[in-house]
Amino acid sequence: MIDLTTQIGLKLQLKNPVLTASGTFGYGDELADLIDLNRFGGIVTKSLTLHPRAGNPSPRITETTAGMINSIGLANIGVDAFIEQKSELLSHLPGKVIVNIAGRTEDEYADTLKKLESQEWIAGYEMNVSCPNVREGGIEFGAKPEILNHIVGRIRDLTNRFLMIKLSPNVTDIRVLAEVCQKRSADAVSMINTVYGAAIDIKTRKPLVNTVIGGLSGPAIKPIAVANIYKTHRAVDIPIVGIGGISCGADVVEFLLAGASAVELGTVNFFNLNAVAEILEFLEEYCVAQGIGVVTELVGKVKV
Amino acid sequence: MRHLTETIILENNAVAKNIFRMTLKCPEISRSAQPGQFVNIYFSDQIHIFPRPFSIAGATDEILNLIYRVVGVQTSQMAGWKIGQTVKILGPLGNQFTVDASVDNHVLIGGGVGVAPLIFLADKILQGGIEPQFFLGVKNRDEMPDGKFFRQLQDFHASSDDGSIGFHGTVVDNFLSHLPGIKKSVAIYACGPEKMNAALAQLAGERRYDCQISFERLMACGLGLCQGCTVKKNSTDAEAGYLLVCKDGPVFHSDRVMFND
Repeated sequence: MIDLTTQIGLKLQLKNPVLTASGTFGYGDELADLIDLNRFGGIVTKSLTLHPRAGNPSPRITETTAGMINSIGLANIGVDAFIEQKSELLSHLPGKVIVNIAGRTEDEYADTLKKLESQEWIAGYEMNVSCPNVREGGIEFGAKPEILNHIVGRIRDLTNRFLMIKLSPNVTDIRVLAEVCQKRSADAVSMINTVYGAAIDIKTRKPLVNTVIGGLSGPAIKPIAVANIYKTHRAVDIPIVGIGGISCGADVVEFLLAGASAVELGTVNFFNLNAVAEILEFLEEYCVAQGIGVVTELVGKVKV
Repeated sequence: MRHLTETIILENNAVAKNIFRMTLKCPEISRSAQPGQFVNIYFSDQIHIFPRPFSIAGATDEILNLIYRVVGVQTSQMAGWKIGQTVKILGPLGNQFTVDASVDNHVLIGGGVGVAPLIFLADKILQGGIEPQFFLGVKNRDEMPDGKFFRQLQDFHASSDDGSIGFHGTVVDNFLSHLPGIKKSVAIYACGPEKMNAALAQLAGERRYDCQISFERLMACGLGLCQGCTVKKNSTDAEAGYLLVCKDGPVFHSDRVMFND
């Protein structure tokens, strides 16, 4: 029996290193009849904002080579409805629930978090400072070190729970931003959010997502994620939760070797509902074959 | 109850130009499937990653029928699938057409491969002892599915854009040409291209017909996870928001949603 237990910083212990990625798993309750939610080390919810958001107009998604571009625009039910409607199921999950928060302004992030603090079952937060598809908020908080410094500092002061900052690859050097998160006592960083991408229908000459430029995800971006995790792992001491194009167990091992302590499954949830089960099985087999008893031994062990 | 399952292909034949019917042995899904609902078919392909949604064209005990048009890489692959091959499938997904038996005229209007859910619906309505009226429009004779699908329908009306089969004109115009003979209350059930849907919605609005339309959208998941397959709610409120075709639909009452969004 391999020990899959994963510790992310001081505050978050997971029974295995596999989480869901925000925006690809609803609020955690959509698939309760199809997937055993208990298989996940944790669930990361869709981004929540202070007020409900309708999201962007159609078309919101397009399929591209080995991936997809989305421009959903943080459509969500808002923090109040989330607490009212989703607490019952989520509070009874044996895995940890991380709530992803977003906002148009710093105040909105803060007010959203304050409301969530009343819910004891929430294990921690992932701050989305990297959404490429909204006009205000989103990536503007995550692209400039001084702005990120301010907002992470403010949110850190509001909670003692696990706090993870989700970073964008659409920056010159992701390490500088991870260092800011570390300086401001974030417990972890997660990376990468989607990569800027666009696609055009050559018949109609129209863009295939409403905002022209959206966020590329899926297997196509996996090497970009591995590169960002690798260089960030060498730059900061806080743990990294790896995201970006994972579709199988071998991908997860690759992320761990590059320096991720845990991973989030995103786009794969759309095309393989058995992904988590297959990944956990692979991790066990891989560790046995490698003579490793504890999965965390793999973290950062790429031989360079 | 939704099931993700491996099913076996019993038949997979062309029924018109580029239009195929696949018959699957799939009791988990067929026993609860209702007209209007759809299934996802999964492909082990890392290049084209999305599963593809298909309307259910019939379900009897253990058997599930799909009718699909070959339009891209995945459906071209499907056209080559052989009897006995297994297919990974999830369903039934989405909502369904609702039939109010007190209505006098049940009118099914399909455009092209939009015929799929309507064949299933016609079966159900006939089982209820009601004779539906069925209008199907295609581009030309080659795209008209095999007559055996419509043999049991007394009141079937074909049309084609080029006049090579049936009424020469759109399916909506064909329906309009029959309207003088239709006197009492009317319920429309439709599935077809956006232009047809929009024209029917307008007609239904003007004449106060109950009109249910099954929508098609590109879907990444079919389960409400990706929030990609939106249709705009019909409201004067600019912030009214969106419905998801996969989860809130695919069938919507025409006055609830916006067309040409």
